[in-house]
Amino acid sequence: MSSLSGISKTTLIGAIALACGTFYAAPVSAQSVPVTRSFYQNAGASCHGVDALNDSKLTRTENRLINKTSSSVDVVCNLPADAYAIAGGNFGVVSYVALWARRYAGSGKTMACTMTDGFYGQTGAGTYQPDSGNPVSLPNSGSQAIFEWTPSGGDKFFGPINLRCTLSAFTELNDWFVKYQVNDQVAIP
Amino acid sequence: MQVLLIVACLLSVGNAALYWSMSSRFGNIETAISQIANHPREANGSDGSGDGTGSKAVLRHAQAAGFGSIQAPDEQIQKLKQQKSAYDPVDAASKLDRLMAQEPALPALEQTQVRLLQQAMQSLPANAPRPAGLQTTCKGRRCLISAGFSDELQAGDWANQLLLVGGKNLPKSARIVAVPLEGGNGAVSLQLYLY
Repeated sequence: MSSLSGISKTTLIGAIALACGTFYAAPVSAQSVPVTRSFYQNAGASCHGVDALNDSKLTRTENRLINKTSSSVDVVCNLPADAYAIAGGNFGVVSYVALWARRYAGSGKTMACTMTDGFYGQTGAGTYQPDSGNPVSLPNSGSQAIFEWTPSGGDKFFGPINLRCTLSAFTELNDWFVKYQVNDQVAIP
Repeated sequence: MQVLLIVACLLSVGNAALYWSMSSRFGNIETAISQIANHPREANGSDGSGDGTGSKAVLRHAQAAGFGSIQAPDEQIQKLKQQKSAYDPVDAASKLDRLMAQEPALPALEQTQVRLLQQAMQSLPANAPRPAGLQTTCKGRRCLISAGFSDELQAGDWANQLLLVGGKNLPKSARIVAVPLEGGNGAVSLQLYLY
């Protein structure tokens, strides 16, 4: 091995490589990675009449909440959430809400629903019309119609999500879906 | 070559110092953003300007920067307790009033909005609660319906029914604020903000 004034070339190259490498070495740090989570449930479990009179007009099956009467029924739904769905509290994490409904009998049926986000009294929480506006037409074929809520301008809705619907005569709610995103901290070298 | 070696060593030491310094700065930035995210009202200004929309915006920036991480459930519970105890309908109404005052006037739109809202009110079912002193005002894209009700439940029920029968022409978002009236008998002044 050749040497220069007692210092080997290997040592010299190693020192230079170390110097250059330090310039380009990325620091080890935590990085946030968006993680999507969701809830899905049949409406019969989480929706109720706004009072005993309205509730008495509803019929529940395993996956349907039906207004079999000839008058309208006002219903509220309090959708479950976990600690992450209310993450941050101040800003909201919910990026999408959907509710499915259909006509039970008859034709030309419509339904109207609004969505209220967050807990009672939560600063910044609001009540929102569905993306397509109210009311939503329920297909005569009996297939399901969808109510969708998507936050605008990059905002997110607060969790938990709450719904209020007026089920016109012979209409039904089926199920709902809530999607939310949280930033999970992972170590990135 | 010895000179090169010395320069390389000096560079190594310098880079290590820079790395240490930058790590510290990043740590401070993370802490500052975390504080903004946890206390957006302060971030919006001590004068209380800005409402929940502002809060969301502040945190959105924090999230974009990659620091809006999930919190442990215990921290969530503590935060919720603070938020719930901090709710003040008078304060909420005054912030929304301020946003409405800042709205640039759009007379043609305002007249249309008022007309549509009045039509919606006429479409309310007969069993809907009866408001007292009903007033509708619009400024730019925002509208305010104010009315008196005997209690908060009736006010909320009336507002929700209005939003449901309003049809596709109603503004997409609404805030329902029930401000307690003096006297302590449960009567409230409903402030329904639409935007």
